[in-house]
Amino acid sequence: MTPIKIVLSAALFWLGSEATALAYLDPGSGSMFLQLLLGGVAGVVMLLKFYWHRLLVFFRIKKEEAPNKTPGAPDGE
Amino acid sequence: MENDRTEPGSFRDRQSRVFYRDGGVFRYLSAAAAAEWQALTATRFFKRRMVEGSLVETRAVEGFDPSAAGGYWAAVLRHETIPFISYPYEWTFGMLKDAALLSLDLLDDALNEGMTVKDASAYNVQWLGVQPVFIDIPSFERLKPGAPWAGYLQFCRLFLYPLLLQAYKDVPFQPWLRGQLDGIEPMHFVRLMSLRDWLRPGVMTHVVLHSKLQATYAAQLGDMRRALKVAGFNSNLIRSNVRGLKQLVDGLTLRVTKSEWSDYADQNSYEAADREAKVAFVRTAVQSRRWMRIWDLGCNTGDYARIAAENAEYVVAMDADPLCIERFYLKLRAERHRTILPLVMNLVDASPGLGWQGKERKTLVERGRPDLVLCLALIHHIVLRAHIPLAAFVESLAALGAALVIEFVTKEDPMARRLLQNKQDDDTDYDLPHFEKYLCEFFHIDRRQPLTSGVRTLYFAAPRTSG
Repeated sequence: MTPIKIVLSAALFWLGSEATALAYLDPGSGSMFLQLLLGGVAGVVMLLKFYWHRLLVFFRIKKEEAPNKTPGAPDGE
Repeated sequence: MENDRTEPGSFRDRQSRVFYRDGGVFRYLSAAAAAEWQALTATRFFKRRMVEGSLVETRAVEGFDPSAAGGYWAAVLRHETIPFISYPYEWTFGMLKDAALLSLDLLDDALNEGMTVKDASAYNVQWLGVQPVFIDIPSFERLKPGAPWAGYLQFCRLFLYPLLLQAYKDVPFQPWLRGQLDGIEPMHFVRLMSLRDWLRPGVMTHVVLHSKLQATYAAQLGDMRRALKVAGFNSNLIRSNVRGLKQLVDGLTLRVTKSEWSDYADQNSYEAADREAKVAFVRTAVQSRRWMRIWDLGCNTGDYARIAAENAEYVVAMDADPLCIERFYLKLRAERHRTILPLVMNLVDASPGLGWQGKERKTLVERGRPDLVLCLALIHHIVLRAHIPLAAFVESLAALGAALVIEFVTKEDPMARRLLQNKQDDDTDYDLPHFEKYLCEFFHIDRRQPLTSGVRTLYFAAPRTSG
C-alpha cells in the first residue's frame, strides 16, 4: 500500500460508520472522490483540506469533528 | 386496480413504480418521493421545461387513495404517453449526444434551484420525434448539503464513454450498450484508450483518473459521502463538473463521413421515372386511410418515412446503418420534426428483451406493433445478403399483423447482382413467382405495380388475419 492509501484508509476508518443519506444508486467511492478534482479550483482546495484534515486526525493532532460543525461546510444551500 | 399493468423495467428505484392503466402511463410515488415531487413542482425550471417539451408532461392524479394501492404508495402521477419507446443502443451518436446534453442541462437547472438529479441513466431519456424528453420525474430530489452527484459514474458509463468510443476510436457504441445495460466500466474503457487518447479532452480525468480512483476505493468500506461532506463538498463543485462535461460532450464529433449505404440515394439504380412511380405508389397506399403507427424498415435517407408521416400519427424509421440514421436525424432535428423517430436497427438481429428476466428492456415488437409496414428495396439485402430464407422473411412480416407496402427486387437488379457477385447463390426460390406465392399465403394483394426497369415490383397488401 502506498502511504497515501494508508492515510486515506485510516482516515476513512476513523470517520466511523454513521449513516448518511443514501441513494438507490451506488455512486462509486472513487467516482465521488473524483468529483472533488472535477470541481475546479474550489475542489482542489477542498481536496487538500480533505487530506490535511485526515492527516491531523491520523496523528491525533485533531479530533474528528461532527460534519455539521465543520468550518467551511455548506450551509444547506 | 386489477387492470393495472406494472412496467417490468421500473423497479430499480424503490421510491416509484410505473404502471399502465387504460392506455395511460402512471407512476406511484412513495411518501418520500411525493415530498420531492412537491418540491419539484415549486421550481421554475419544471414548468419551463414541460412547456418546452424536454420534460415529460406530468401531473398529479387527484383523489388517490393510498389504501387502494396496498398502503406503500402515497401519490400517483400521470405522464404523457411516449408514442414509441426506444433505447440508447438504437440511437445514433447525435441522439446520444443530445440526450446527454439534455441530462446535463436539467441537472444544471436543478442545482440552480436547490435540487439535484439522483441518477444519470441514458434510459431516462425518450423521444417525441427528434425532441429528447426526460421521463424519470422522481430522479429530481432536493440537494442534501455536502452530497456529491450520485449519477456521475452512471453518466460516464452510459453517456460519456459510448460517445468517446465513437468520437475518438470510430467504434460504434450501440453493441456495447446493448451488451451491458449498465454501460461501459471505467476500468474496461481505460484499456481501450491509447497513450495518444490520454491527451484528448476528458480522457485523463473522466477515464484514466476515474478508473484509478475506482480501483483504489473499490475495497474501502469507509463512508465516502460523509468524508466529502466533512471536507466541505458543495453544489458549486457539481456545477463546475457539469459545465466541464457539457463543454466536453458538446465538442465531440463523429469522424466517419461515409458508410456502405450512406450515399445510396445518390447512386442507386433507379431511373427517374421509376422513382416517381414508386413515390406515387407509396403515397397512394399511405393516403388510403389514417395510420396509427408506420414502420419504415430499411429507411435509408428517410424519403419514404416522410411520405408515411403525411398520414400517420407516428413513424418509426429504421435502418441498420448508423450513418444513414444520423444524417436523417440531423435533418429532422433541424426541422424540429415530432412524428418521425429514426432508429438504428438491424432487422436480422433486432433488439431483444434484455435485463432482469429479459423484460427490463423490451423487444421491438413488444413496444408497439405497426399498422402499416414499408419494406422498400430491402428484401434482397435480407435474403441474398443476410441469408434469411425468403419464406421466413415474408412470414415474419405477416407476424406483425400490419398492412404492407413491399418492393420485390429480382436477382437481375444491379444492386442484387452486386450482392451476389462473390458468393454462391443458394436461394433458388428467390424469384417473383415464389415471392408472390409466399405473400399470398398471409396477405391479400390490393395493388401490384411493376416498375419500368423490369427488375422491381411494388405491392400493397393487407393481412389475411390480424396478429
